[in-house]
Amino acid sequence: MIRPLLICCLLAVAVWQITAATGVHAKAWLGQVLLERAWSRSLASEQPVAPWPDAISYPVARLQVPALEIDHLVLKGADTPVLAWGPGMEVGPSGHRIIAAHRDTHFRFLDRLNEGERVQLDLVGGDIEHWRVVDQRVVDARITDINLAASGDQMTWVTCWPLDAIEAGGPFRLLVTLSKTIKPDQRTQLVISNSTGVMP
Amino acid sequence: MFIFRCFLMTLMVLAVQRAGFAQDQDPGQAMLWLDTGQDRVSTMAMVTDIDIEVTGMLAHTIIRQQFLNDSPDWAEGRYVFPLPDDVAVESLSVVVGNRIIEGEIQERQQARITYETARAEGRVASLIEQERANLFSTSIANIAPGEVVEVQIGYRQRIDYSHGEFRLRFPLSIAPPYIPGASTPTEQGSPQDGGGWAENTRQVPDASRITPELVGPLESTNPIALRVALTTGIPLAMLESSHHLIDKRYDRGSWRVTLDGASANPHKDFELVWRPARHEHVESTVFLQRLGNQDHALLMLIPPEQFAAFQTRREVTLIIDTSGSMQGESIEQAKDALLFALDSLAAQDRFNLIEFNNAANALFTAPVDASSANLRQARDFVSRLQADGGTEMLQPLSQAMRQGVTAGYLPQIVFVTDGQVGNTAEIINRVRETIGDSRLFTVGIGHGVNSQFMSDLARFGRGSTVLIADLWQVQMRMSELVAELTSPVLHDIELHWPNDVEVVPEVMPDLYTGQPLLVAARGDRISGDLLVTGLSDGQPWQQVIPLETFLTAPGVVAYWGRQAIQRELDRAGYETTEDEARQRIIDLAIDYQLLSPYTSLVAVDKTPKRSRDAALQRQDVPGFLADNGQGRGAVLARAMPATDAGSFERLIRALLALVLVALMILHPIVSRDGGSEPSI
Repeated sequence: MIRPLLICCLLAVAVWQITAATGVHAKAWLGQVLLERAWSRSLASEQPVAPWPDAISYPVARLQVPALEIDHLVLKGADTPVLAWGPGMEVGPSGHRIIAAHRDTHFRFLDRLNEGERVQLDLVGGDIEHWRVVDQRVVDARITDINLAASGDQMTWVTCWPLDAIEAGGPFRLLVTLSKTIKPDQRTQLVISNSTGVMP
Repeated sequence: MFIFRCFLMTLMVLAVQRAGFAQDQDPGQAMLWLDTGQDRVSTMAMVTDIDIEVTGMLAHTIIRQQFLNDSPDWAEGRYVFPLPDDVAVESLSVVVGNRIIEGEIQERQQARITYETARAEGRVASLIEQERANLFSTSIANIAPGEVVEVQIGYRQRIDYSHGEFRLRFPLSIAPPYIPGASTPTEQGSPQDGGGWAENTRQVPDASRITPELVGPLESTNPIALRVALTTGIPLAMLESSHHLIDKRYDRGSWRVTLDGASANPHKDFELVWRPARHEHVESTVFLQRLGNQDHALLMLIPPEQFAAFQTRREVTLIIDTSGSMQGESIEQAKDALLFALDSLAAQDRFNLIEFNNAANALFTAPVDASSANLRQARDFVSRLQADGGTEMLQPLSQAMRQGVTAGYLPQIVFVTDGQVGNTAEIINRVRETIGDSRLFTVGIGHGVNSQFMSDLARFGRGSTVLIADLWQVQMRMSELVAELTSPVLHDIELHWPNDVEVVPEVMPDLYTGQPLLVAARGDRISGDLLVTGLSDGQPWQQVIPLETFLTAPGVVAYWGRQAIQRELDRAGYETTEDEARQRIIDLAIDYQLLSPYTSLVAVDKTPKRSRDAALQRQDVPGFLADNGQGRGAVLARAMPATDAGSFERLIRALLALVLVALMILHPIVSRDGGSEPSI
């Protein structure tokens, strides 16, 4: 009987694919949980700490988008094995930060991101940076590269586009550009001093 | 950009009305209008580049202009540009940043929808629309603040030929149009307000859409570069520019002409004139271009500058409209025109004269020799004519076409009328069915003449049309027509192609001095010898053109496409239904990427650019390197990381497998139920 055999094969394929798909999400979730421990230890020691023995990377920053309730730990490096566990960051010689993440896991939220959105980036040394989304655009990865040497006032997020594509491996990338802003408390002061200034 | 403007303006001038004086505007250049939603600002092109390719008598022009959105807001840009009367816009591309957005031909309604949708989605899009027969506007949606937009428009046109000279004109400046009528003020920012300097008027309800601001001569300092590649196919005796200093050189069969942009005076039209080397008889040349797996050929026959056909025997039938609408000055003009035509008859010719109002009344029952006695009788007949009664046009035309042709004579019908009839379609159809070998020339009299009808009649009758608006023009216009009637350079032309080809026009016209003849053909493979035969001054004439010496040239394919569209338009409602014709025209227009009455040109970027309500000022983004390496300052290129874990794809595959399993389990149950049915 061929039919039961076929059914068995198809079921096996289905199980395999579901496992693989959930595996991606499980790894992404598990990664963040495991990283949390390493992160708190590295904050205490002000040194990067590997999350587990033989780990290929370690957390270097915490990325938060308060309005969207997003909180991700960012790993060092943006190669494919790293990205399975969490967003990966590379830093250029002048400080240009590039964060890449998978469109179906950690950067899924980019479709809800608006221009002007505030973003907070906590670094290993304890510094807290404030950023603001200034541009979103889609480019063709076959003809466009990222300039690592751009200025340190700039941060770029990269993920695959379209966010809900069925097929993997398309040539398009969504690029989100953020620029560094002053801290909220300084900002408030500026507004106040401006309103007491000379108005026409 | 100047050129563009110029074009625009020329268009406007042609389109609106020439009468009257410009209203507080000097000639200058058109502007791009930027509409940011709150207000409108205008901006000049920073760079204008013009490339013109001439093949025989066909010119293909590409105008490239760059505009800067120097406002702090996102904007929709719109500019209006005039093009010469007979051009066909056929390509459009918009370059924004480092992306090129190619226009595609779409069905007209669809093009609008595509543009509107793209605009609403915040994508870059561009649309060319026709405001007048020769006035176009281009809209560009979603230009970012500080962004440079480059617009390229390509169009085709025929080169003017007169007195043995070819003439290519490119208007570098444009005069503002005269807007007649009482103004009907519109609220600023309302849909009716086009933003131009003129207010809408009763006569020109869209005046504000077609009157962009102009830059005065002193302000227009932006550079223009103009290049012409000229492939004539025949040796030239002269090539020069009428108003500008040019640089020209000959390179592999074509002339390269450049205009020095820095020194060019943009307020004089660019005019390039060339004259073929002197020839006594017909010159012929063939161009070839391949599209897909089909060859397209263009045959050009160039008449000598002067030609006298002493041996051509003609049989001329003059028809005059003496209906009530011809009363007054019209009938006097018509009589003058007839007398002029009678004077042109030579002793070897034959002629007849028919007048008509409610009924047709012929002077002779059949054409007679042009003897002095017969001519005297004809002149008396003409001088007694009076305008009165109705307009029964079919009867005299049928009579003239039916009366039979004497062998060895070239049959010509000269039809003098004001064209004031209702049943034009019926008359045109009758002419198409029964014209046979006769040539039909139409003479339109007076100001209210139906010129479209007159030229359609002449086209189907392989003749030409002249319009005489005032009495003083009779002499001039009729001498032109008589010159044509008496001296056909080549008639009864036949083309013998070595291969199976589809030829446009289907019926070969005659060749006259003053206008070269173009014939286009399409076939799977065109090679061998083309034999052209005809009659010239009473003698058989023939020429063999080896097709291996084809000059490969751009523009041939597009010319064939346009002629084929014209053929389908002519067939509509006659050999084909309107729907069939419409479908065939859309197919042709899309295959050949041409604008037609049913298609438009639209360009849309495929990537989202911004959300509609985001009015954020976009900053220059040094982080991206497009095209691998056009950098500013330090550059350290890094390829984009792979950012797709592929979980969606896997889930879909799993789902697919489960659905198949479900189908396989359910299928036997379903078929067993089905199988039990017959036993019931």
